[in-house]
Amino acid sequence: MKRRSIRAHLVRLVSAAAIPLLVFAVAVTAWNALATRKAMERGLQDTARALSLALEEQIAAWTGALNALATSSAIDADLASFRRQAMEVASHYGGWITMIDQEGRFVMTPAKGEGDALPHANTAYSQQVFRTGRPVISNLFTSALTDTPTLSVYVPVRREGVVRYALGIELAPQRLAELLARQKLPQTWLGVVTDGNHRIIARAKGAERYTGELAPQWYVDAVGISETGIVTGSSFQAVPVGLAFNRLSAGQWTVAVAVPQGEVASAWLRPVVALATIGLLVVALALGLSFVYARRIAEGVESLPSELPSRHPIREIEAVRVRLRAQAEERERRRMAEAAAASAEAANRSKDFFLSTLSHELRTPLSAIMGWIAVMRTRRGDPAKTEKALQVIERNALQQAKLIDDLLDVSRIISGKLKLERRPTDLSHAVSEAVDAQRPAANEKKLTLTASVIPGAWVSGDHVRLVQIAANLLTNAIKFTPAGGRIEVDLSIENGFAEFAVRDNGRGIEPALLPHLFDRFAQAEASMLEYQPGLGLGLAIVRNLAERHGGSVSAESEGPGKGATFRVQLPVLSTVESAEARAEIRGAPGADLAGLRILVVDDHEDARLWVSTLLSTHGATTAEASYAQEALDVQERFRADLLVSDIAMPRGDGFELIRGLRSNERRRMPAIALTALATDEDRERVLAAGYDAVIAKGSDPSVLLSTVARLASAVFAG
Amino acid sequence: MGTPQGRPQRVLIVDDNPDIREFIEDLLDAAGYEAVTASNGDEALALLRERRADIVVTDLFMPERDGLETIDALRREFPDVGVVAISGDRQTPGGITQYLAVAQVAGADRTLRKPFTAEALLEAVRAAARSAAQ
Repeated sequence: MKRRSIRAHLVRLVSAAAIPLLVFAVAVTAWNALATRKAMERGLQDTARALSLALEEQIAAWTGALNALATSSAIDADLASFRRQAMEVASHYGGWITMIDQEGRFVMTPAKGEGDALPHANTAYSQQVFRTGRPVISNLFTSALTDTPTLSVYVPVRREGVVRYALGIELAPQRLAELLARQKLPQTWLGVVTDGNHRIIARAKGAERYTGELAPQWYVDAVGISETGIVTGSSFQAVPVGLAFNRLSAGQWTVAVAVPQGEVASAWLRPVVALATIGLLVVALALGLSFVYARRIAEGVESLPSELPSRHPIREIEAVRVRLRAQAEERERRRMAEAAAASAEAANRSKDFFLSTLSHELRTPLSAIMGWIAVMRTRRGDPAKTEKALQVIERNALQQAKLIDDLLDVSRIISGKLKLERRPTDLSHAVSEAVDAQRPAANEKKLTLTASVIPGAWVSGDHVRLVQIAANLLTNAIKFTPAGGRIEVDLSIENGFAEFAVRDNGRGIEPALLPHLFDRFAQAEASMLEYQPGLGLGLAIVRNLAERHGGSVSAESEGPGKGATFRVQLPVLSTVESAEARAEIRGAPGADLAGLRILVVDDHEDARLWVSTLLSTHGATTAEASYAQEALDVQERFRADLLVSDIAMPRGDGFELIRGLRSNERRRMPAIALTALATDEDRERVLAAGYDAVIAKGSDPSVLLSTVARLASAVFAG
Repeated sequence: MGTPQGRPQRVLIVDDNPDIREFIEDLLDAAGYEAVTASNGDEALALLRERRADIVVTDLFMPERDGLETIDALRREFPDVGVVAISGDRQTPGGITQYLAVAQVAGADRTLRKPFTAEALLEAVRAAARSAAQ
């Protein structure tokens, strides 16, 4: 079965109702038109018949009058007195009385009496009277008396059973026209009388012009066939007309009534047009309303699946809507309940995995610690064993401490209590710091660790957390790269992002695992398949920290044994923001360092350059050194007013430097330690060694500037 | 500590974590065993083929070939070696703390749960040697 839309069905429904209506309307209109037309024709015929009657009455009157005269004895005795009688009668009818003998001679005329020289009555009609002995009605002929077209009625004058004369009345056709005019026909209707030769003998209008004219051929044809009827044709004015005709019972005259076709048509067309117009309007209105309702229904039904937002005025649709919505809500409730159950189950499973892995991860270093304590006990007095045991115990204890730190971080992340102190900072410092911190672990495992770090990767970040990100990725790489492997660290700026990448050629990652690598506890679940040490908290922390810095982290690996690359991308500050950060430095209080000579010591060239640029921007004169002895040598010549130095330097650290400086100076030179060692304990050690201030690497540059300014003014004041 | 046969019993210690491996080696060495070490299952099997050991002490979770596989392999190849399995708790498909039980089914004579004392280790090794000798 062909499927159609509900709209199509509704349109068909409306059509099914409208078509019979339309057919009915057309039928009624047509029937009405037909009836109107019939009535019109009947009216026309009735009129023709009425005119015939009027004419027949007139003829009967003439005949009667003539018959009365015919019986007059004066005809035989005194023709002159008969003429007087006859003229009286004739004047009443507006014609002339004539009497004709069998030879066609006038016996009497209105003008002349017996014995006068009379013209021959050139009419065949009078002779018919002698032949038939009955009254005769003439066609149009030219009277011998008046020499004008004339109509005539003759009756026989009998004497002793023999027709002696034909007594007639001659009439001008005008008399008939007057008769027609008296009949009060409608304005546009036209009464016409024709004779046996189909010549027009009377016309209600234009009689003068048309009298004597032969009627049109179509009329002649129709009248030739029947005595009465209706016919159409063109008038003398070439107007299409409808015409009803009727032959008179006496004689050959025919009475016709003509109506212009337009009149007839408009008579029946007007109601048809009116009816049709009203009908069409009604049908159009009905269809229009139907379509409006059909659309409302169709739209209601069509929009049901998408759940109508509000009540629908159609009861059935509203019922379905309510039902559908209830079902949808029920489905949604069930789906949410199932999802909640599934996620609760997954969370539970994750938690179980996590707890058992945590237990394992805590127990392993604990085993080592306990085991080595047992070794120390059994090997009491063996200094080599004791030293080894202490190292292992310390390392495993630190490992556990790190694990606990990670757990606390994750806990803070989950509860949203991990706070970042973001300020403009150079990511390269954080990366370098992390690389420095992890280098011993890499060396111990015989890994090659190379770093390519460009300075000036200004980001808005928390220095300590940025270091943590880098350190976690490095620890990870070290953990999963076998001895002799290679780890490369790379920091670059591209498309507005600082990208920090850690690449190793270690054991790589299963492709299936990649998407879940940064999920919390992921490694615990992965351990189900393959043993891997650790909880996998490090990567979850890295992701969270990267995202909290507006950045992202990703991992790539071509598969097991093919190594892995981890990338962190952080948005760099715009040039404007970096400039602002620097402007802040310039605008820092006491930032005018003009005339101040400062010695900057750091083994990292980038860091050194950055500090000395910062200070010289603010008017200081600087000199640089990269390790303790070099700094002491430079100071011999440079004679700085103030020292800014790194602490951890491989070729002679900050402790060595400050000892060397303090040991032979006449006047105490202010010294600032700029270091990554930022715990309270470190700080105290540094201060105790002889530094006047300790500033954490990655701190806001303004801190360094204001510290330099403060110490310098103290010196100059003192 | 001597050995019943008069010659030191040879113990192979298998663990990927050197901190664990080395203290077990040291404790067994101090107790009079001849201790050798391997950092994974494959290395352990190779060592055993080279020279038999009386007892194998193995961790259950290691990269490459894990403890259960190792136990299974050496049981088939060396049915009379005593086996001690050690492990911390870890999730398994069968339940949280069932892994050691599974290890016993796989062929371990004794199991040790981390962390363990020196005494528990020596006791387990002795017991495994006994059951292997039977």
